[in-house]
Amino acid sequence: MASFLDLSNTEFAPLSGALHGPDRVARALLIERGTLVPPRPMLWPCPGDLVNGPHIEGDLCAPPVDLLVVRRAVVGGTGAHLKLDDQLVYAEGAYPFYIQHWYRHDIARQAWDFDAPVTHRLDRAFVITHFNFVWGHWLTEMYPKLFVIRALNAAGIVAPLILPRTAPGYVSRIVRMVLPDQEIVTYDPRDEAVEIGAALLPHMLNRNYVFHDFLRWNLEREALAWPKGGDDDMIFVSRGGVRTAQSFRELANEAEIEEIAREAGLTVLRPETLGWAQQARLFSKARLVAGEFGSGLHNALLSPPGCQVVSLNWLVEVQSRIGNFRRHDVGYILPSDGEARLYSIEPRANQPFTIDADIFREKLTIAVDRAQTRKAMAGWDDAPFPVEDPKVRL
Amino acid sequence: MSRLARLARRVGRKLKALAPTPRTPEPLSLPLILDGSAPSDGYSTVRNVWCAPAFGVVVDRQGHVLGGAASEALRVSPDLAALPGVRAHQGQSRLILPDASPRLAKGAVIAGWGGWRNYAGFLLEALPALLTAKAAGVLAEHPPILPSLTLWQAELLTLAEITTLQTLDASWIELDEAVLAPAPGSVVGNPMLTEVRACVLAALGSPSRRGLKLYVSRSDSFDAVMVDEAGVEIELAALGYTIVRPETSSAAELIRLFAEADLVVAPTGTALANLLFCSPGAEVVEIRPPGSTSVWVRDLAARVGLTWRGFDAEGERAMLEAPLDPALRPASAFTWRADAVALLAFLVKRA
Repeated sequence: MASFLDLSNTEFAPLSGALHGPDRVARALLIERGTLVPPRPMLWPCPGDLVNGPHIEGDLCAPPVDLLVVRRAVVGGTGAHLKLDDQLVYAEGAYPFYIQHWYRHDIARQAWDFDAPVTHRLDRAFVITHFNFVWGHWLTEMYPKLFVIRALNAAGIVAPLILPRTAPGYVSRIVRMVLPDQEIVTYDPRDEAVEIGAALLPHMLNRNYVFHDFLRWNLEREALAWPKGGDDDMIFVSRGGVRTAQSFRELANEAEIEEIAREAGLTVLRPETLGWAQQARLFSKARLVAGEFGSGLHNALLSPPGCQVVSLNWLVEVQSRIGNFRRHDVGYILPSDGEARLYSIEPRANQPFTIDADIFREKLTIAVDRAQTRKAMAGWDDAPFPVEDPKVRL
Repeated sequence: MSRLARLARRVGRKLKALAPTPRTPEPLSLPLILDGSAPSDGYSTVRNVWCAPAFGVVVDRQGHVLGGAASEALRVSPDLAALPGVRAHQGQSRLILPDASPRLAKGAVIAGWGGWRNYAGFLLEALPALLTAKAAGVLAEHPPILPSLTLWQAELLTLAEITTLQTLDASWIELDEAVLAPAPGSVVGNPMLTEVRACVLAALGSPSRRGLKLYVSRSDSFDAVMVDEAGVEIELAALGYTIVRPETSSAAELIRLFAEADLVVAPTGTALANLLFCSPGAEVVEIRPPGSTSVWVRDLAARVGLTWRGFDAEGERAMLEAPLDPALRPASAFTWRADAVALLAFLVKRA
């Protein structure tokens, strides 16, 4: 077990006190509470508790939003993890739950621990990352923090954002898109660490993927930049281009499934070939998103209410939680043998699976029909009316 | 590698460390002049300008933001930072000039922000503005510049017989010559609403039924959520109301239903723009959330000759506070309760 500090229950202090007070650790409450995110019926009955249980169970109330401030902390490693007096830091709002699990059970220590000496110092910096830069984790656990930073900026609270130089290129590109004037400071995690006078850890706007309305408001504001017209509003997310030797599951009849999707009128998309602006625009108007369970499918986080989501395979509850948050209708199709291909921390052999073509065709038809019933009025109530309402959104 | 080389590499890395990551070279940009001086009347012609079709915003080569259609965008986002390609920093907004953008010879910029994102905005503001421009002969040589259209927008344009269009799926375009609409006036006072009503109803033909009682549901909406709406719908369905779900309907179907209705009951919302198509003498009961001060539904009903009654829900709006960025929370991000029993009593008493 790695030694770590769980700062989740740090007492709240006023924002100014948290930012400028003497405490080594302080927590400011930014938004007092979240709302209940009620589960929605699935598109069709799915067998077994494995899929159904997490869709409706657990604490489905979005958490309050806070800002954690840690003074004289050291940031290092490939995920810009934080240490306070040589102990790793964990807090519920700033990190997903599995981070402390990995700390506690000493899993893949090289991914998050660091011992590089402090080579540089900053007075204050935002810290938003952890080691897991897999796209879906970035999207749900780090990207939302940019909106908290934007709100803090609007309140006059600015600081550089610190990133490991090894972070994927999309991280700084997306930061620049959301926060064009954000200063980014990088360090080399191989032999450098950075001491920060006051490390600001924004909330990730969810707890176990039960998302806060503050994220919805921001996503809707982003989406207002684009009208909803045009085609390509039914998407099949292909994972054909992202498989690696480390992939733990593989859709063996992918070509057949993608062809069925095309026949049904879906556009087969490889998100990794598109810039984020283009992805965001497409997913923001999508009425149907289908594909293998995975990061690409999680882009439906941007998709509007009423979007139909067809997931091939099931891994965890994340897609259900996204669907309940954005009011999507989600349906799962399990592999032909009825066994979900699950992720495990231990390396395991690839688990190929097939999706029954007839079942996929049948279920996709249900989703397409439902999507089509909403097509005629898509985007009809995106902005308030009348615009001259002084309390207009934005 | 020698120790010296290793040392040199290490020192080199240190020197680079903590320097802000090099930004890509600043793109060409144009400082915007946001003096808010949109013309109040008459069409104007400008040349060699940038245009954001989805926002009705036009910018000349000096950076002046022009045209009446831009007024909505300026109200929604006074620094225009919400527009793609516009960056606001320290009180100065700049348009990042796109590397490549479509160029058109001529076009008219008629409708603004709301028309492209809200049904009522399109029906009550954009369509009348387009018909006015058409009647003035503006569109003959300068077809209107529009963003990619949704189906309901395309349907309404067809019904209103506005068929010569230039739709563009681009954030910004260049226009050699643009005709700009004046700033929009009062929504329900627009005389061209009569023309919109006449055109659309003529295109749809005479109603086949009369005497419908409608309840127009907002149960699909995240905004102004009436938490007891399911109960209201059950009660009203039992009383013979047709429950209308606009999100799974079409513009033509909605218009027909409103044209066939003697009574429309609905929470305040964009669907009520269809009151424009009700028969004079029909009755509307607007279910208003607590504290509502909006009057556009009442005024539209009066304009069409309908009997309007407001049911003002008691209680309070439940809403989250967003103290850091209060402007972010949509004004409609709240929940409320209509109280089905009180509403039913109101509906009985009104007769």
